[in-house]
Amino acid sequence: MLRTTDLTKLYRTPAGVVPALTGVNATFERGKLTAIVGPSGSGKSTLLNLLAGFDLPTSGVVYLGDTSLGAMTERERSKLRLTRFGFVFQSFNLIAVLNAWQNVAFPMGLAGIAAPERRARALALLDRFGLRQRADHVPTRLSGGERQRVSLARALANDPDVVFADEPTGNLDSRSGQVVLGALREVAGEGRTVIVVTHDVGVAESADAVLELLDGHVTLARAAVPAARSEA
Amino acid sequence: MNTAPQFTWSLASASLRQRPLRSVLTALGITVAVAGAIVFLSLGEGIRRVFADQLANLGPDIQVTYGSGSGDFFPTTPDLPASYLDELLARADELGIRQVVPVLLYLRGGLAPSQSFVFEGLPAGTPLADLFTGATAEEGRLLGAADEGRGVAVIGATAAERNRIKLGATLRLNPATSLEVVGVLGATGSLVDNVIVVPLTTLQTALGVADRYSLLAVTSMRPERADEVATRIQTAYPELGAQTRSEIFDQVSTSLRVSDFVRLGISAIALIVGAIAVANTVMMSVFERTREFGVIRAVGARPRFLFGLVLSESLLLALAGAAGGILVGWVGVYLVNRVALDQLGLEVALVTPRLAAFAVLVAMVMGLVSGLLPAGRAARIPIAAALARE
Repeated sequence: MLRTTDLTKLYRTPAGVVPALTGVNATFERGKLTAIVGPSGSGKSTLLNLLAGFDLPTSGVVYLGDTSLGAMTERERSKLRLTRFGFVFQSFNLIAVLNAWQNVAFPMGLAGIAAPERRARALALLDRFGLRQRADHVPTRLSGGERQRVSLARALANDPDVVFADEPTGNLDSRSGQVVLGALREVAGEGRTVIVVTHDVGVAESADAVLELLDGHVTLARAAVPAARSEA
Repeated sequence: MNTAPQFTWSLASASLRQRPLRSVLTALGITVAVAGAIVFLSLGEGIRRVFADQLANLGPDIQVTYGSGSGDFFPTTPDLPASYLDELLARADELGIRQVVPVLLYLRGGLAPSQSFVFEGLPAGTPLADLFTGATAEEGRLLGAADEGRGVAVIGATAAERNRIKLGATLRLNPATSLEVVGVLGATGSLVDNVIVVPLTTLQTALGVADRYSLLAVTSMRPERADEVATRIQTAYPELGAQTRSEIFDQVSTSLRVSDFVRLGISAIALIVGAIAVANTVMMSVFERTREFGVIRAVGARPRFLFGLVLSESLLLALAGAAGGILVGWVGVYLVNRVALDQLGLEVALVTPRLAAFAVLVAMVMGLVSGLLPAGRAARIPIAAALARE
C-alpha cells in the first residue's frame, strides 16, 4: 500500500514560490486501480513524481508500507523503482535502439538478471499482451497500442508491487485505449497497486478509486462506481 | 544489485549504431589524430632502428674525434691532426688497441636529399670489411693499396641504386676531381650502403686537408672492454673525444628522445582537437537523449549506470578511432618510407608494437577524458525534469 501524509510541493520560480501540491493525504490500496484526475496544472504529474520517488516533497511524507521514500538514499530509491515499481508513460518512452523484447528485458538487465532468463521472461510478458510475434520489432515499427503494451510489459518486468501509468491512453485511439485499460485492470487484479494519472473520463469511470485534484488540493477522493459496472 | 558490464557495453554500442554518421565522423576525428601521432612518432622509432642497425654493423668499437666530449656521430669537419694516428698506433698495446683507421668524411649537399652524397675517405689498403661488417663488392672490385691517391671510388648499394650510378660511371667530387666507380658494394644494412668510399689521400688532396682527418676508427683488442679503452684514450689525450658505440647510441637516443617530445607535442594538438570533437559529440548526444536518460533512471537505473553508459560510448568511439588510426597511420608510415627510401635510401619510420600500444592507450585516455564531463552530466539528470522534456 502506498500513502501520503500532508504532501506539499513548492516550486521556486523567478516570479516567486508556486505551490504545486498542498497538504495531500491519500491512500492507494493494493489490488485496486486508482485514477488521479484533474485539469492541466492541477498537480497530477507532480503527485505522480513524488509517489514514484522521482522528486522529493517540500514537506510531507510518501510511505510504501511503513517505509518513507524521503528517508531513503537515492540509491535505495533507485532500487525501489527497479524492483517494486513499474512505469507506463503517455509517450511510451521505449528505448529507440532496443527492440520490443529488449525493452521489456531492460529493467531485468539493470537488476542483474542473466541474459537467457531476461529473454525468456520478456518473451513471456510479450506473449501475455499478445505481442509475441512483434518481439523483434523496434519501437518505430510498432503501432501506438503495441508500444503501450510493450511499455506495460516492461513495467511488469521485475514483478513490481506498484504500477504507475501517466496518461496511458492519451496517445491511443479508443480501441487501443480500451485494450491498455483492460490490461491495467488485469494487473490490478493480480494484487498490485495501480495508479493512473488521466484526463480520460472512461479511465476514471472504470477505476476502483478516484483522487481528484484542483490547484494542488484534493477536491474529491472516493471509491468509484463506474456506470458500466454498476449496471452490470 | 550489479548490472553486468556487457549489458552496459551492448546498450552503448546500440546507441552509437543508432546515429551511424555522427559516430563515424567522430571516430574519424580520432582516427586522424591517432594516425598523425603514429606517423610523427614512428619517425623516432625508425631513426632509432636505423642507428642501431648501422652501429651494430660497424667494425670499430670506438670513434675518436678532436675536442673532448665532442659526440657527433657523423663528424664531417676535418679537424683531427694526423699526428694522433701515429700517437695511438705507438701506444696501441698500452691502450689495448688492435687497429686504428683514419677516416675523412665529406658531405656534398644537393638541393634534394637524393642529390646529396657522402664521401668516406679510407686508407685504400684497409680491408673494407674491417670497418663495415660484410662489405663485399657485388660488381667490380674493392679498393686496394695501389689505388691510394688515384681517382677511383667504390659506391654503396643504396647510393648506387638511388642515384642510378653504374660500374664505370664517373663521379665529380668537385670541379678539379673526378672519380671512376670501380666497384659497387652489396647491401649490408649498414652505413656503407649510403656512402661512396674513396682512397683517403685522394679525398684529402681534393679537399686540401692533407694532414687532417675527421675521426679515427679504433678497434680494441677486447671489444667487451671498449669502455675501458675509450677511457684510457680519453685520459691519455684529454683534448680528444673517445666514444664507444653504445655511448654514441645513447647520445643519439637522447637526441631522439628530445625530438620525440617535440613530435609528441605536435601530435598532442591533433589529439586534443580529436578529444574535443568526441566530448562535443557525446555532450550533444546527452542533451538530445535527456528524456531517454530520464526514462532509464525512472525504471530503476542508478546514476552510476548512466555515467558508465555515456563513458562506454565515448570509449567505444575512441577504440574505433584508434583502430582506424593505426591502420591509416600504418599506411602513412609506408608512404613516408617510400619517399625516404627514394630520397635518403633509408626507412626512417617504423610502427613498433609499443608505438601501436601507445596509440591505443592515448586514444582510450582521450575517450575517457572527453567522456567524463558528458557522463557526469548524464548521471545528474533529474528524473522528473527529464520526463517532462518534450
